[in-house]
Amino acid sequence: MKKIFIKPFLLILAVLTCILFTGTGSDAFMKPFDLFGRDLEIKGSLQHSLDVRTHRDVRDIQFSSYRTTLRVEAKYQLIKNNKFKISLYSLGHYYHDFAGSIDDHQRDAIRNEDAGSHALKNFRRTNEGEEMLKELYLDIRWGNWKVRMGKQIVSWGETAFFQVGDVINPLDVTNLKVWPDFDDLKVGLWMLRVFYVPPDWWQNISLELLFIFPDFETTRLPQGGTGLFFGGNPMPNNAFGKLLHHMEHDKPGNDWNNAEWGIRIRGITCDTDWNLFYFRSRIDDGLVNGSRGASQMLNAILGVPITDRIYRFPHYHIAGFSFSRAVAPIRSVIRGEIALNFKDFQYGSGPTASGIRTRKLLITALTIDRKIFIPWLTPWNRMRYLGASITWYHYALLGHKHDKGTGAYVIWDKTNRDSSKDTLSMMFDYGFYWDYILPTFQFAYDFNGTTTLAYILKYAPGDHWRFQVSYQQKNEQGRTAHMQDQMMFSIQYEF
Amino acid sequence: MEATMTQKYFYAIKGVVAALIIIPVLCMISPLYGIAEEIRYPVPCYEGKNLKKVRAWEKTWAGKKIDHTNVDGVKEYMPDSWYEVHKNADVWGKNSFTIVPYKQIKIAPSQVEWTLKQAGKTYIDDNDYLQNQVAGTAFTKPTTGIEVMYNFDTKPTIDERQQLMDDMYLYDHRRKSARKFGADVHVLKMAERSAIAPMPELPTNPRGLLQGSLVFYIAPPELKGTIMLDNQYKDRSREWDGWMWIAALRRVRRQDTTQRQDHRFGMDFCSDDQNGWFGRVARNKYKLLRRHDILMGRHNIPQDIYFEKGTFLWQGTTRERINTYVVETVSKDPQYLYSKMIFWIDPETWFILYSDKYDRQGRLWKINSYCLASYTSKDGIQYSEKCTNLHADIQRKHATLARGLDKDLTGVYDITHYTPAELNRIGE
Repeated sequence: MKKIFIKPFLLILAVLTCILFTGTGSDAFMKPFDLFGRDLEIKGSLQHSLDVRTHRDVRDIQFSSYRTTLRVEAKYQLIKNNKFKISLYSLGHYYHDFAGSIDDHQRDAIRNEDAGSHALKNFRRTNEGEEMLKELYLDIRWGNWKVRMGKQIVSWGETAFFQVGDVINPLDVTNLKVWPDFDDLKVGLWMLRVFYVPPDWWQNISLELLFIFPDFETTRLPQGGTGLFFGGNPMPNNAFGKLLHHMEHDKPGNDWNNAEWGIRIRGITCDTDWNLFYFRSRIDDGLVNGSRGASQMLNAILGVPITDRIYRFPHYHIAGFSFSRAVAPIRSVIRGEIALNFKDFQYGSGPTASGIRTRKLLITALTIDRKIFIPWLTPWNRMRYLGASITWYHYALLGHKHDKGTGAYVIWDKTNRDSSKDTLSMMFDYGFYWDYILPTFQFAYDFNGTTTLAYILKYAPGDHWRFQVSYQQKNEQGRTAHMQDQMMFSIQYEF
Repeated sequence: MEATMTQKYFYAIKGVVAALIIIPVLCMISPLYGIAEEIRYPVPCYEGKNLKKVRAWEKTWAGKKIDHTNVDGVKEYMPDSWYEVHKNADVWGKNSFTIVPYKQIKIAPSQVEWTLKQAGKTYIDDNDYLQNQVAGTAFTKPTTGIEVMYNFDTKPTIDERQQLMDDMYLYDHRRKSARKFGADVHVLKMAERSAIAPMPELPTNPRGLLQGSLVFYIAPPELKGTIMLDNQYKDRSREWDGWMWIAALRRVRRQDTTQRQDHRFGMDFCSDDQNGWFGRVARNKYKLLRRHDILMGRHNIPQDIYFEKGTFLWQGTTRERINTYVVETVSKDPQYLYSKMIFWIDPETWFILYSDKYDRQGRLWKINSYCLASYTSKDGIQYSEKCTNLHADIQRKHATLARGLDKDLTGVYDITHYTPAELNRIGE
């Protein structure tokens, strides 16, 4: 125990010493590092966060995360003249999670439900060098052509909180909180993007081509016995660890058949920004490989050796359209997005459903963004308007069939059997005292299931330090979703 | 043969009658041919007797540092609010500036040429939109508030510009604490260009843009990466468009007109407050109140200007006496955040150098003050541009101060920079 404590303690102490030594209030530290005459710009943050569970299940875990995270971004202008502009950009991310050191129950849960000490090591920190490197790319501008090559995180579509068209990068949900930082949530992919942006095309159209090299990445799932699994029964025999290992083992190899590609066309028509996009990809989080996969999954749970593939990652297509427009009469911005996924879904009964069916999933989202005048409050607070964003998501599984004879049904969205579902999400943000104090309220209501709420209060007293306390709450009648409730504390130093 | 007396009288009477007919006719037709009225541009603040008076006054005051001890001597040359923040040192700190002699601002010859070329052709229609504007300043001799404002809208400034504002503070005067901000501003005029070729318009401008501006926030660290884009259109009836790249969401978000009134990031100004007024001229009603001799900063050296905690304003500025137009402005939107704005506008550069802004209850809420500096582009074009901004909340004693240095961006324009697609690409 002592050995475990000393290393992280020294790490924190070393970093804090560096910060204090260089002077938090000095002009030198007032702005992000600019070196070589502003050709090299560096910025980042050091964050220390603690997640405290407000409800405990059989695992009796109080602290599910106690993490120090370092994020560093750098941009270096290699060449800049009238014809060319070439710059190099990188985003790195490293963390160390001490929750296993301060909460024995958390440590034991990971060891027992996942792959023992190996899983605990993975929980503490990322051990893959490439995991630490989120982005690293070369950006080249030459006339109307722009090329970006390297490891990138891409943002397509209009919606931010639930994915509609923004499906290029797989997700890292190992430490998923409600409405996380997007830089932390996505996994970078090695890709080539080519943009053609002519100044005089009809409707201001521009093109983007995206090609992802054969380097398939799966969704990063959390270790067994950690936050997302609270409320569910612990899996015996290190089953989850085995399943996670097989997800990595079963993923497609790096050959050209597994390359992914997409195209996006953007334009402005009648004061409306619009996008048309198409993306051909593979499912990132795997489907059980039929009855054979299902039986191997059962083997894992029962502690029997696994002898065959559990998962498959079928190809799918997604095509969509999004738009954004300011509507003056209602003093709002309307954003819409529609995406048609041609995807494979599990077919069968129960969690080890054995069949796979291809269905079309149509997702539509309509958002209204508005700055709201609150009588008395807005004038008192120096005309600070309340920021509001409300989105309605509608999911429709086309060609959905429920076999009344066998009781089999297509499972999509992990548990949903209905042919459609609706979700409403809202976000309200405000600022007091010249944005020293920033409260935010986020809310998502799934008409078929869970309600999720997040109350966030941020204090930003100066140029660098940020203090935040938030409460995440999940409600679902008759279920154990409340086991996901937690208080989150964060201290962050931005540089 | 010598004319008789009768004939002489007859010729004289004929001459008088002819004069009585011809002279009125000439007076009637002469405006059409610009014969009677001389079109002059630029018109200096002072000339002739007025200039002598100003020079006489400067013998006493030029070179003097004005602070709370002697500001009473120049009170008549300051807006009341500006006088107050200098006079009441106990409340606002010991603010000061130095008086310098008046010096006429030189306008680039091409800008003068474009202004004179279109003189008399521009007009304001029934909807308060400017028509027939090609390039140059709209009105050589404005007589109404709205004409003065359109001169502000078409002021002679450089067509391509970058200003690095890395000395920017959010200052809480009560707590004597400041937060630091920074921004890099890029501006490109696509049409109505009069300083840099191509003139008057870029060869490709399919969206009919008048001007695009990009603001890259460079500090504090969490704001770095946020970019704001504004598009203004040649068609002055068309509402401006705005977008913001939000780094935390990795998304471009469209802005609507209400968001232009929102005070973002804790600053003391909203989008509309930039440059004194940053929106369509036709959104307001205007009344030309008077001409007012005031002391304003036009020939500053940015490096000499500094911020000191405990004072409420930029220090180290120089100010000269100029004969401004004072325009009272009321929004046509009854729910607008200001009940009234008063602008003091420089008659040579047409910048709004000072403004008072009143809240919905009619109380003085904010003052804005700008100092100008003179620059010379690499092509030798002389122009004036703001080097300091001050947006001060008088009621809460909080201010946003910014100082910037112009960098020469001439000749490297890229119209595609000013589109939301490019904003997305740059932001990512």
